[in-house]
Amino acid sequence: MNAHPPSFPRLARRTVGALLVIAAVGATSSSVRGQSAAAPRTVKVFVVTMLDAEAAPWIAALGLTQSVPIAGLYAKDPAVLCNAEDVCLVTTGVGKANAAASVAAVVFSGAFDLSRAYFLLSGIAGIDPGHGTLGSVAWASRVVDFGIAWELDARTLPSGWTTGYLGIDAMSPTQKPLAPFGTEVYTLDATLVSKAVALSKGATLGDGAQARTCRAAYSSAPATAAPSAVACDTSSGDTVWQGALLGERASAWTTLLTVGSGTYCTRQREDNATMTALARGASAGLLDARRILIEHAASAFDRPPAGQGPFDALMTCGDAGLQPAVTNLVAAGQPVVSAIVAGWSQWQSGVPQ
Amino acid sequence: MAVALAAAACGSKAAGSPPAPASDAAAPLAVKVLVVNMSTFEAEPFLNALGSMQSVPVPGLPTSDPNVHCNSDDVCEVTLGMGYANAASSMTVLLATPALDLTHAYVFIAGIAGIDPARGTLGTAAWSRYAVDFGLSYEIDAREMPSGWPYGYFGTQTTSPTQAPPMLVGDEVFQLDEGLLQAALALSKNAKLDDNAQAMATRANYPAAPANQPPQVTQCDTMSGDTWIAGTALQQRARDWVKLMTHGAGTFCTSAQEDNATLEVLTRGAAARRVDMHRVALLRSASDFSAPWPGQTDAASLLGSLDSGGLRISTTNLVHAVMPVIQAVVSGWSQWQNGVPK
Repeated sequence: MNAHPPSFPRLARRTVGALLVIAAVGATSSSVRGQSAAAPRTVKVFVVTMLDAEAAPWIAALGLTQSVPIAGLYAKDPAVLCNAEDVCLVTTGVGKANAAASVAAVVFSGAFDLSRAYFLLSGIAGIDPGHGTLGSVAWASRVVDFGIAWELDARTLPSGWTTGYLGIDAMSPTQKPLAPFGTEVYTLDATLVSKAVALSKGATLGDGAQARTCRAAYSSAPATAAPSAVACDTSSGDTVWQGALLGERASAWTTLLTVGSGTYCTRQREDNATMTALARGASAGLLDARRILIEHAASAFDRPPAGQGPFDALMTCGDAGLQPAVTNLVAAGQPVVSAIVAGWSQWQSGVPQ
Repeated sequence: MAVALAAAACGSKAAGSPPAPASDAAAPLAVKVLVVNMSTFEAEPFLNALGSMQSVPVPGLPTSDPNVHCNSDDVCEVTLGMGYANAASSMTVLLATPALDLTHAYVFIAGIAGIDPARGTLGTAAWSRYAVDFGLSYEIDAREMPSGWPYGYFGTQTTSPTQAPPMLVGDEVFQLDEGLLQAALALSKNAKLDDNAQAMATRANYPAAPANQPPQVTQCDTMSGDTWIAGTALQQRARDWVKLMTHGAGTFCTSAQEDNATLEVLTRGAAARRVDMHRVALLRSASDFSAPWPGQTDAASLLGSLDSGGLRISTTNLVHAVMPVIQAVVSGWSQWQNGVPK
């Protein structure tokens, strides 16, 4: 199956057996513990936030007043919130473990009929100043895991290496790894992403005084310009990295793992885990993996302006864009949610042409 | 139902006289022991050791390992997949399935790892008291970090590597049940562990014990993160971080890629009364060293880690260390069902 000859037994996968079983378990299983009595609630749009700070503007904008407690959610956010138009929201907690656990708990709870639901992952991120600015909203097409890798301290590198990160079982940072975990790269439906970009194009985005101050230190647009909605890709990892050197690795890694089709733009801590939990739901027949959108709004730059070190940048401007970012997630995302709800007679069958 | 169809399609794993297949309508299987592996490579020796197994399909498990395997003693095995995303997703799916009742199950997380040569050697099997997350941090490339720092990692919302961070995420540190840990250690400490010539040759390069001695069962702690760190400086960060995050009580020893994700889900499952955190134990066995021997470069150590000779013995030594505990639980179930015997 793999073109790469160096096989690594730790990474061996029972591919043949898997293919036989996929067909068998592909059908929907709606019988889930403790939920078999009540009919599952139909959902049109499921918004996934990680932090209360991201959730609050959505809750206000959408009037999410109905509380649906679900076992296994993040302890501080133990309920899914919904409105009368079948739009729901879950707050997962930060990091991959929380994100995968919360989203899988929702999907496999049996409480929701997600078979036609659109998912909108909506969270803050750090942004590459070459692709956006504080408060910018970026719609991702490709989701690349930054963390699943080998790492050496960057002061001990063999000659020719530009970073201490390399693929697991690779021989150098420029060798494309086998991606044996299965969660390294996800690609979203291009038609849906294009539709979301178009719907959010005219959104009025907010800004803030601290954001203006911090972006003024950069030398050129788009970092120095007002925030806008853009289309570029995202990178996930539990570790919040900062600086030009790790930024270069993020770009090179995204290019390597997407075979040149992806463009690194935002870094965040959850998406590959959330996508994994959703992919499991799709494999169990519970949801449609072609109905997933990801938007990130920049609360910070991922690297400093020229002349400043990464540590100083993190300390001075590390959350300078937080307020406009959480506001702009709703500003850019709500037109999409509204279009889906208002046009449900079409959207329930797929993205309108 | 889909579950029943899948059971019929898959059949049972081994020949012989397997137990009756699980059915969607039937009462959930009351599991006595759940072995949690991350890769097929870890699973195979367990499946061989546990005898005839029936396959219990659980929709939502990885398509590469879609079944839980259970024997007639109600000992089951699941393979989560590697990394945080797979581990958390699979464990959540497992706790939600109506096919299994895990409320009284003893859960043994058993996987391979890198090991600090100051704490063990290839094939060492270490029971953890603490599981500490490595990845939930800030990082600056070491070539552009503030001067005087030992490495580029530091706690989120802190200003230096020596400052303890606020516990904002929730899964930064877990402590395993001490009673079960001590029982598992006592039951497994005399287990005969596998060794091999290649592992002997590799460990002979290290100047001191325990790195240059034969493997043993021991107790020391594990850190986890999707990023498989290696080399002297990042190993030092793991040592310092485990100390910092456990207020000095923990000792870094093994590095793995799933445990805090798995334990986060189990903790949530315990809050929902689907599993008992007093019945969870964590064992990691060393497939490779996390830092080089004197004179070897970090890169040579990492790139050669899979040829160290530790890979095969680490997987079989997981079985050697866990099986005595499983046998005690199963044969003494009248006592163990109420908790770890005093």
